[in-house]
Amino acid sequence: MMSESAGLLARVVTLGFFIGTMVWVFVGLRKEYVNLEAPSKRFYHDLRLWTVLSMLPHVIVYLFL
Amino acid sequence: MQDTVNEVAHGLASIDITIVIMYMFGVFVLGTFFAKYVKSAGDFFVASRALPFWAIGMSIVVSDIGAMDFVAVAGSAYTDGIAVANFDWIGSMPAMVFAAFVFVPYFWRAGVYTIPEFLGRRYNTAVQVIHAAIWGVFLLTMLSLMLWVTGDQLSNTILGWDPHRVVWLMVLITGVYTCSGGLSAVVMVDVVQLIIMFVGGIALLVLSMWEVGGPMELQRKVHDLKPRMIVTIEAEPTIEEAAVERTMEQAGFDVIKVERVQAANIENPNKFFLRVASIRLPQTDADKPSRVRDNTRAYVAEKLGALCGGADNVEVNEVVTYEGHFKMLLPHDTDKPYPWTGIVFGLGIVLAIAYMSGNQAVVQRTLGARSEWHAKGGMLFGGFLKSFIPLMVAVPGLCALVLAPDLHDGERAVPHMIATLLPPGLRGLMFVALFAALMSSVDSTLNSSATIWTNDLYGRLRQLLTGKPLSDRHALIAGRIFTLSFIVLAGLLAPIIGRAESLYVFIQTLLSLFQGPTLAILVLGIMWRRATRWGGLAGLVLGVAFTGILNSVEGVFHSGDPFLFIAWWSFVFSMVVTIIVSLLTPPEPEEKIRGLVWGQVMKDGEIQRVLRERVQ
Repeated sequence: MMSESAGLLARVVTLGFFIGTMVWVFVGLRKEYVNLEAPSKRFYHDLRLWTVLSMLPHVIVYLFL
Repeated sequence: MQDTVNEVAHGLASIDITIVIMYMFGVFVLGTFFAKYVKSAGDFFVASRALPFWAIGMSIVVSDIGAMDFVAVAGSAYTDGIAVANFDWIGSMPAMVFAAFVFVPYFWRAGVYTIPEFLGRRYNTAVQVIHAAIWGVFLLTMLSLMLWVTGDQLSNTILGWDPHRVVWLMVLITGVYTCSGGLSAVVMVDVVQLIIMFVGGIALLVLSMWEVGGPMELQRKVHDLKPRMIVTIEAEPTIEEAAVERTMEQAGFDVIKVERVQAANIENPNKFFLRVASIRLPQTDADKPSRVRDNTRAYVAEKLGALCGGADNVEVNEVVTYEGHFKMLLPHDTDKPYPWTGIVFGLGIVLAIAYMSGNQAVVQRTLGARSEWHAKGGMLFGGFLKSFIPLMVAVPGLCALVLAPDLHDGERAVPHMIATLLPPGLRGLMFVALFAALMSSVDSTLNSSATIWTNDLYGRLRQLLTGKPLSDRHALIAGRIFTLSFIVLAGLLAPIIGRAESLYVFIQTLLSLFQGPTLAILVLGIMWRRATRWGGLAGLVLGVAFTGILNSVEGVFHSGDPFLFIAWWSFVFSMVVTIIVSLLTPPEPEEKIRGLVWGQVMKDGEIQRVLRERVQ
């Protein structure tokens, strides 16, 4: 079994990978670049939102398993 | 496995067979319907650039998941636990986000049909041809293997059908609709196949969970299981299985099964026989450190050695414990194949991104998107759908651990669950789901290999010899000829490649040598304008050579199966080589890399306009 500190490190790095990716898409990329040629400007055509919604369940899985 | 699958085959009702036949007929009709829309090479290879995001996402997922994934992933969950789900979670979603926002827009805007074509534009023809040749051979070999898996492992062992006939039935169905309808037919058939696969997979999940008593009960029951030890014994033929069983029971172990597997000594097959014994260990051993388990191994070897002429004739292959079966992140020094460091760095950062951004079968769907937004959205939707795959394949494997804890081979888990849990009708649907998973992988691989061979190998060679590029009509005819030739060739080679395990391992190893270096030159090609043609070529060739050395030298990594670590270090090495050689060689002219590197496209509105015109 993994020691507590090693387990924490593994969890932090893994969660950082997911959360870092979400932050990069939401903050690091320009909205116009992400949504270039989107069918409309409505919120449900914003791919930044769908990126976060698709990745959130993974964050929960790696937080608890 | 034969016992279990015979049980399944005998349990097949006529309604199940009817469902399978109706499915195959339906797929054939749907696929060939799209032939009337194919008038040009663009229609054939990139579906007229008209695909919506939902079709792209569904097609990516179903192309990626094969029927044997159902069996192998469930088997791995049975043996090693839920950590196998990492391949569909951390090994997919972040990589697909990177692919969607870094790689796909550049491939799409460049107006290319293939990834080697993009590499050729960014670097040079040598990089394009090397990349295309390896992927071309790999995809063709995979095609044969997939067909044989359908014919032999799925149809013959489970349904009892003649494998050769099933292979040629698959050749006929997938060959005709892929050849006539091109990418549109492949993607639209994939959409239907994904729905069928999800219905079958969810039915298996719900019924197995119902039988176990829910997620909490599943966890409790798995933790209560005693660890097992699998032992291989070479013994005189006079020693009976019962004697092995008696010896271990007298030593205080609970014997699950002793079976004769095969003659072990090739030179004198009458002298030695190989037996495999599964032995249940005391529960207390489960929580003890591996040193204590090593003592148990030695004790077992000593006891059985006394029976069969010495401890040297006894080999303890595997100790199966269940303490980490619900852990996604396993220790760096775990004896299981998924240490967390390898999972994050080797899988998450290198292999997954290389696969999602460098695999023609995945990327080709996004190149057929109706707009850049649909290309990106398709990748994201695919990642979202892939999140459900472990629930349908890994969780039933864990449930099998509770419902059938004594299976010798984890890959028996899914056939056993189908045999025991699913009623007639639903069992036919599950078989259709397995066929759907496999046929969708076959059609996608066929279409992608024909695209690479037409554009990057045949087209390039013809241009070098005649000085003229392929005309649109010529490319369409060549694409169809390659499609038909490859599916027939794959059908002919299927029994040979399917049985030659070493060839399959060689091809897989070849691809794994290639993933890290490919990603390195793709990343630098897009992100760094100073990367040069010589840098890219050196990074690719030396990176593959370096990976080959890492692969052949033993003891470099702690893990018994270090492919995740090799992928990471080959990526780092190729990055360094590409950077050094690029800095030592003259920069590429501005007009050559115009629109192919990140900074330019992000900042320059004029370039964005030119690129949009290029793909229209």
